[in-house]
Amino acid sequence: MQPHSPTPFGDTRDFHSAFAELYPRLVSYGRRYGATYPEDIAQEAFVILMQREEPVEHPTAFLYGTVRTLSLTERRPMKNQNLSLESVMEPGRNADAEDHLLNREVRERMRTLSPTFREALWLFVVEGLSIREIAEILSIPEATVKTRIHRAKAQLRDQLNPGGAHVLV
Amino acid sequence: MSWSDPARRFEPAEDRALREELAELLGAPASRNFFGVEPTPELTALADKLRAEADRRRHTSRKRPAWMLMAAALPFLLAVAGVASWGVQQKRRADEAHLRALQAAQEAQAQAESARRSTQEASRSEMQRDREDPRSPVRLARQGSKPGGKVRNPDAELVLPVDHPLQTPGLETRQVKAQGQPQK
Repeated sequence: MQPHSPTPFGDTRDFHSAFAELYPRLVSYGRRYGATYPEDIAQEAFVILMQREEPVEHPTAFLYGTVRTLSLTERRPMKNQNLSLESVMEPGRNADAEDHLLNREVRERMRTLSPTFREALWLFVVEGLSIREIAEILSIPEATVKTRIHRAKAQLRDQLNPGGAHVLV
Repeated sequence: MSWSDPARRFEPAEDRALREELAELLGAPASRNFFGVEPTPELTALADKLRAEADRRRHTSRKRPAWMLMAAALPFLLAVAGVASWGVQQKRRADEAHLRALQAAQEAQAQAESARRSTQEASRSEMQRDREDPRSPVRLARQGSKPGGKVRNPDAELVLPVDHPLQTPGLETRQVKAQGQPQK
């Protein structure tokens, strides 16, 4: 039996390391969902994770899922917003200014994708999460995540090679 | 297992290749080193603060003991048990009443059957008696009403003895004149 770790990420040193890596990304992720206070949401997600009595199999996925839920809940008063990462790409958002990971060209390409595919692609490529983690965050089967990513890939190829035939792999 | 241990984040080679390919298509930076970030003192302090907050919440969160939940559910359980026992009792009563009604119907049917049989027996014995008795009016009537019977038994006739011969008295007649007609 695996010994009980003091934190979901292992010992204290591992926790500090994971926090340093994940916290900025979670803040950015919450902001992309239109959260007004993404720092608070990211911190709340960490507290909720560590408050749990039962261990979490995928702590990273749990944190992303919690941030996503809290961000959407925070925006719920605006109602009828089936939000995805679509709002991220709208001009004038702070996310553009703070996003030092992606240049304008990448953002333009992402914006042309359908929101469903864009969300999976973002988590897979930009956030570097595994298929299983994405499935856990979005509460969908792994096969669905793979399908979405492959369709996003096909759409990207269509953009780069309009009119050309492609094979969905 | 360490946070930065690659075994923690095992990923199939094809998924990694797909990620690289998609990053190329997007023009995004290839794979990032997710585990190479050195924590700054500010982030470490914030992490410790959040951890302390989680510990505080875990210890201060009010946990309701099981007996309290049981006590809260007790009235409901009692009500359910009472209704259930009442229902069972009603069902038993209904079954008994049904059984009694069934038995009564069966007894009435048996009585009716025996009465019918005794009536049939009585009529049968009466008919037998009539058949055996030659002076029975019924038998005589049957014999008399036979279509093919030419010879009648005189004993069967009802004869009334008469002392005096019947005489028809003569009719007394008188002529009466009508009013206003001269007499002869």
